[in-house]
Amino acid sequence: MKAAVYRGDGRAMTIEEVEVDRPMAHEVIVRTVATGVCHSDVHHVEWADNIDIPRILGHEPAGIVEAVGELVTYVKPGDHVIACLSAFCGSCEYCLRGQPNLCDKSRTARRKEDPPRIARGSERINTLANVGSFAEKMLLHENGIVRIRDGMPFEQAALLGCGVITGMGAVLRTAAVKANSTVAVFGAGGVGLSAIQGARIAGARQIIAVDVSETKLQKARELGATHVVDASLGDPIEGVRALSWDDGGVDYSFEAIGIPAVIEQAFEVLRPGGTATVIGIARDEERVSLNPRLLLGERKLQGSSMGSNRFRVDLPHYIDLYLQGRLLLDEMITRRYRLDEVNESFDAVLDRSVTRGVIVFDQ
Amino acid sequence: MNGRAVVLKQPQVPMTIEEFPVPDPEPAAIVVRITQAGVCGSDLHTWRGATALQSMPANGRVMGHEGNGVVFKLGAGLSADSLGQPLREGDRIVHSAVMACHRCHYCLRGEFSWCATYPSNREAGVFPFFVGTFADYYYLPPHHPVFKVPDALPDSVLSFVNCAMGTVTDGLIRAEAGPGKTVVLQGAGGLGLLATAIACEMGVDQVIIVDRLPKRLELATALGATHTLNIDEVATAEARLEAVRQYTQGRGADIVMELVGNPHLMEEGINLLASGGTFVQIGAVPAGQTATISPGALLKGKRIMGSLMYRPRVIPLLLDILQRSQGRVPFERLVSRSYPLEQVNQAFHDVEWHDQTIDITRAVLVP
Repeated sequence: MKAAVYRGDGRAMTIEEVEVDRPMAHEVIVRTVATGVCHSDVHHVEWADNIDIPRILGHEPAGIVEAVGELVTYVKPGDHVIACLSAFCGSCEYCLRGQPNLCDKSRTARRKEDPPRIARGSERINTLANVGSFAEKMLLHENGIVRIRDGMPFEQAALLGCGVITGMGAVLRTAAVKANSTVAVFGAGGVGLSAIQGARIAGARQIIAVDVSETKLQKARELGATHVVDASLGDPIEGVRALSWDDGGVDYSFEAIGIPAVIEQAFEVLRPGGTATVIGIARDEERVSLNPRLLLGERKLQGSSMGSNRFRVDLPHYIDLYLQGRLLLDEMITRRYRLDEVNESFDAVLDRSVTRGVIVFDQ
Repeated sequence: MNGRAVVLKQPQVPMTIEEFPVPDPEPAAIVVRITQAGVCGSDLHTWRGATALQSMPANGRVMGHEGNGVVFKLGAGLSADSLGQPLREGDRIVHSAVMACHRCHYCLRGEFSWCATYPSNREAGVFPFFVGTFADYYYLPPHHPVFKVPDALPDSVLSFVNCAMGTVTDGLIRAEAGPGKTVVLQGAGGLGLLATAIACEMGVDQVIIVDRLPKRLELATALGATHTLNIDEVATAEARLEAVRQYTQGRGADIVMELVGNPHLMEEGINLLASGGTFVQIGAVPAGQTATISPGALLKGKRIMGSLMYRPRVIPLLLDILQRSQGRVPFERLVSRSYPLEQVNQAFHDVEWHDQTIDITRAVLVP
């Protein structure tokens, strides 16, 4: 099969012919139909890392089951599925306490002594998050997929498994935003827009989108923001406070970019008792600086991992919301690519010319 | 200057209209001129003498607790509503219908509707006289929670905000209604219809509503119910359980709300719950009636809770929901009839819910 392989140092990916191993007992082979292009894929090239190279990036796919291992009962060939990078083992401490998104995933990955999932001759090819969706096929653990109903279109379904669940889950699960509360979302990219939609669905009274791009703010309005603050025009902290009830700030804020200064802003715009949730991925060496006095007003700062998801529960629900017209996904997909255009799709993420790009495979 | 108020001297005799002097407000109190007052199921209970919560004072009881009005006179020193919005005489307001002392154990926990200290018998002829909404005026004690009504909202959607709508909303909040949840509503009267719309605005996945009057079920659908069960068609508890399970991948509902006041609905409601689900008793059950359940049915994390009225902070939420849903959710259809104050006995007769041909959802009195 064909796959886009990243070979390190920030170089462009190359389309290569690689081989997929046979599924082990609890694994499945899924033919990729569509996959989102996420900024966290782009980070690896943008930051020129050499983690696990050579490596197939991509982690936000939907597809069709092609083959299953001998102990798999959850799906059968022909089933439509979304693959999610939060595969869960189901029996570690986190899984046992109902936080499968925090599973360390060691039991759903292949062991060192096992043959590689993907290889090119004798060369082992790694996959990002054990998914690696910039490829015609994926070899996945069965606990990393959720079966979806046949009527759900694949391109929209693909977005659900990472970007949408990360943003909506941060709102609905991690922060558990309540009806009538006030919300500020910093960053109106794919994850931020999903957070905005989550807040709208949860019945937030006021949803303030903050970004530096007028185009993104326009999209945010379209998807549910009641107010916008253009951070390129002035201090966003003042901007959000001025829009809030009694100028006191908001009940919930979300940082969906991963920039320390913005995390600080998200914390500063809280009213007493408010909660700031960090979703964006900052680089390891970054640090944030807070005014500890603000914590004494019972403000909270927390992180969200993949939207605290239980994706086999959440994604069928999100699909209902999409089919009911309450979750808007068509509006988020602004560009489609073929696999051999994957490098262009990364450029579009970096020059911010796209809301969400999706790679669609020939079937 | 005098004003009129509806007084019930004893249960099941016609109510009378009496006149009382309109008091000047104490500092920070408000005299409200009533625009309209809703007739609520619990008013009917009071009239029948069937409620466990209220006693009948010697001079009779001033009736009515739901309704809205305009500021007639502001007490000295009061210039803003509870959210700090400027307040003047003539402004439309919704007041909290929960009368509370604001300083007891429960009030300090934020649970004003559990306040046991505030006199709740609404005795006629005692200062400040206007202690019920079936009247020309209503007296709000100092610093009572009031909320200015946004200009965009018509009076036709305001009469039920401070009782029926607040009550179902706080029940939904206490039961943790929200995205991903399925709610079953037992009863499609004013409470059930309002609960339908509010549950949808709170983001719940599905609302399944149970009643026997087709017109009410139709209105429930217009307000956002995803499924309706007519108990004349789905006539057994087993059939209703099967239907609810079918809509929920075999699990059952996350929340069941009893909105009728029929104690026999509890057993069915608990069976309709998924594991971990919550049964909320909201309907006022006449004193002395009891429910029988199998305690073993609760073992998989099911909870039973009651919810009485609401916390005042719910009112701004409702004014916001009414605003953002204008043109989309037909809240104005909730009130189907209005009567002048003098016809209060006729209004009670007409809304008496045992009549199954009823087409009234909610009636209001307009003084």
